[in-house]
Amino acid sequence: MTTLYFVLFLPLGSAIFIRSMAGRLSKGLSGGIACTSVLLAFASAALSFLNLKGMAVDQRSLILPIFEWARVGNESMRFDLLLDPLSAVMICVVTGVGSLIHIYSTSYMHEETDSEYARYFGYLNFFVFSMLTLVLAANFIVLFMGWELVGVSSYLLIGYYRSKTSAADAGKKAFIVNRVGDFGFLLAIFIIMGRFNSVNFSEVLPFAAAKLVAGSSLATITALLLFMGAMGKSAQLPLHVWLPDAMEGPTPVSALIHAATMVTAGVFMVARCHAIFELSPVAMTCIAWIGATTALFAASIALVQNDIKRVMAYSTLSQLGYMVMGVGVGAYSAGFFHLFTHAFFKALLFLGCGSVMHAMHGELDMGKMGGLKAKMPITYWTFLVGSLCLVGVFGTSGFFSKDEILYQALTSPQGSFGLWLMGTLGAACTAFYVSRLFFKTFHGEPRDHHAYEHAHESDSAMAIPLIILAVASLLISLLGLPSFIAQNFNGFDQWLDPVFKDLVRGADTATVNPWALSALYSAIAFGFGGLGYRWFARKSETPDRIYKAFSYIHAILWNKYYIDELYDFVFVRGFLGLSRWTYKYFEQGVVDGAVNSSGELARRGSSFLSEKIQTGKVRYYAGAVLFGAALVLLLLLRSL
Amino acid sequence: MNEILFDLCAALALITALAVVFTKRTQYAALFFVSHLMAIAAIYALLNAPVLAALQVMVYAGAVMVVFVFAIMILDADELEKLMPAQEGKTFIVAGVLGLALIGAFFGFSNHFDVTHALAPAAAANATLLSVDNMASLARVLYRDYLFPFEMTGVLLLVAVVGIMVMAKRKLD
Amino acid sequence: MLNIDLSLTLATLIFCIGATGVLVRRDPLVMFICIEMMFNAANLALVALANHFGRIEGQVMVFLVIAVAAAEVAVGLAIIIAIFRTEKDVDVDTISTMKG
Repeated sequence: MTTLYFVLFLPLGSAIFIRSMAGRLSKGLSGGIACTSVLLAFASAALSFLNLKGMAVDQRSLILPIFEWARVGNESMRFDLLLDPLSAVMICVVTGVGSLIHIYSTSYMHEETDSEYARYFGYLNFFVFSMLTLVLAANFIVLFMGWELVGVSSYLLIGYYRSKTSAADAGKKAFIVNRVGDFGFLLAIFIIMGRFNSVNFSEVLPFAAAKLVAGSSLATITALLLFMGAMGKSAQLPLHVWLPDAMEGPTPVSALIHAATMVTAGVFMVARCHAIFELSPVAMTCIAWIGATTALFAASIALVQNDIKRVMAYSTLSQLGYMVMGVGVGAYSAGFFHLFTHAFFKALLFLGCGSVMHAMHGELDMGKMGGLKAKMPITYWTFLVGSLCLVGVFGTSGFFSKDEILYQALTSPQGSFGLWLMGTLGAACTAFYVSRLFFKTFHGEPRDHHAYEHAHESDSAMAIPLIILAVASLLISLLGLPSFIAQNFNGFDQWLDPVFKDLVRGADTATVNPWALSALYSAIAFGFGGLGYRWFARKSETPDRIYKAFSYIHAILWNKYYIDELYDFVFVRGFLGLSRWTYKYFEQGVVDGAVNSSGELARRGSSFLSEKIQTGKVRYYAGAVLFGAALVLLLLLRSL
Repeated sequence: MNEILFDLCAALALITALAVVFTKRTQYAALFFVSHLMAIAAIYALLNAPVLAALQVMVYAGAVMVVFVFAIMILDADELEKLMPAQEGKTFIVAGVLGLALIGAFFGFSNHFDVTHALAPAAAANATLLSVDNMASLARVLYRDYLFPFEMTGVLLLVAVVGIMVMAKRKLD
Repeated sequence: MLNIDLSLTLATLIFCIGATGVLVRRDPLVMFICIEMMFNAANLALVALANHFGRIEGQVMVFLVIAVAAAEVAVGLAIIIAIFRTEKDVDVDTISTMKG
């Protein structure tokens, strides 16, 4: 258990150390310290995982007390860590993928100055610490603390390129939108505190059914408020606007935070608190529909984007939608498995994009790329693996996880055909835009010859993590084979069983042949993939003609359904207008008016008195003295 | 006998006091004040304080008024003449009222308190203490019981003299 | 035995006359003389009461008061002369530099 200390506090210590040295470290030193700390954390995480594996199944829930945070009467709020199958998986993912990204960053960020480089690694380490705090939390307060800390880290890292206004704005946008979600989350925590008199998971979750009546409005409200937090952090539909803009940050940051880890915190939280969500079918239906809508919505936008990172961002949004839909229909294990696989291949894809950007000297527009296959073989092949996983080609990890989610969406009691249909359409869009991205970038004739000449493969620090992630993406598929392929072989499911064993699963509401579904998905994948090949690998006029024909729809998709503009108009302008109005009439009118008036009053009052009394005329003073003496005399004589 | 003398001196004192306030010319005011002081000195003598009477004449009438006359001499007399109180009717009334109020307060309340009869009237023996060998008894008390205030007054006079000399210097800019 | 009431009344009257003089006159020197008159009235009261009660302390106090009054007169006149040397105007009402 003590290995958990290392997991959590090594990254923190290295972050503090690097930042406190304030750029006096050389690049090699700061990068080395950062990477080492996360690697050691990964080693400790793996050790903890193995420790847990060695224990009996029903004992796999360990609480490591750290310190007592606050005490109110007899209630004590503690900072404790919880190691159970769910958090063990998460810490391995966070530290594992995290350390690969750290290594990748040592090369990617090489052009920065020493102090900026150190700043980057300090923030990145701090992020790892924050995320680990979030997943290792043993109570809602520590969870929320980690929640907020990852928000801060995200803000710092998105706005890493301080001199770019767009980056700073994107950081603010991410934080503020997250805050909206956090508001709901906090309210939910308050309700839980009030209802359960405790915030510890061990005291809340097993007794959820006892304290919160199933199906009651309180349960629904609590569940929905909790989900509001997840909406903010995992960028579900109304609160998704920050994620595409978050691409302003450096690409490794996008890989780590906005693909593999931070955005999955919402899904993690829903999985952790499933006991509460199970109590409200209404909430779960909402969650499932929001997830499905986000999946389809984001996938449709990705169809027309030209910026490779944007495509990846919308793809992440879409995949998050799948995860949310999964947990929304009660398939917690499936949703979580998709989170797990997605972390690997999405990180791989982002790092691949980074590699391409590096080669093309920061160019992001697909329209200027092409034919990079010949120049960057390692990137090409790893990117191919990642793309196949994302599309969900049979045999890749992405296939198994997505397939399971869609199957549950169709068959579970809370699922429905509509959800399945949206998911499948989303998968079709995914196949299309992924192949479009892939073929436009790596195949065909180079469209910008000058950049093409200078393109080169990345160095080993960047290439090796790519390779490792590609291999991992392929291998982890073996962990979660769905039940119709190999009975009782789903290692992932079994591992998470202690966490989800209290779930009562209703009977399937629909019977579908799972092989038929798999065949359908494969057909969709190959079909749209092939279409992409025809249109983009070789020069073709068809895409442009289609875009022109449907230019109206194209405009909507390209402008992200104008949601940003809507928010700007309603919230931003509205709020600014209100602020201005308040400033003018209240701040200046009332407050300043009161202060100035009282000052004026004091001035005029005292000057009035002073002018009349302190005339400077001697006789007047003498008269006053005598008058006073007479008064005193009178009073004295009276008292006698 | 004493009473008649006392009444005469009292009347003189009052008349000269009024004269000081109402006369037009400053020199006349000074002279009226000197006679006022003399009248008061006479009253002191009648009140068994011969030493003080002598002091009054020597110090007050003799030294202080002389200084006053010097000051009048330095300041332009013609200018001073212009300052007639008669033009200040308003102040006159106010001052008059105040004065009357003070007097009235005293008389009004003198019926209510009897400071004069509160303690036992003076014994005859004490009267002799005062009149016979007034100087000796005064000296005894002054130099024995009230030595410190006495010395302090001397210091005060010294300070006053130094201050005057500083002030009288023409400013050398 | 002289009537104590008479003496005290006299002292009061002289004090009031002096007070009136201070308020009414605009000539600084005459104002000062009136102030001296007020001192005088107080001295008279002291002597009268010393006589009445047969205590010599009253006379001691008068002694000291005369000394102090003498010093005060000297200093006051020096101030008046100093002021009027600079101002060249002898009207008290116009000397209002301490205004405000």
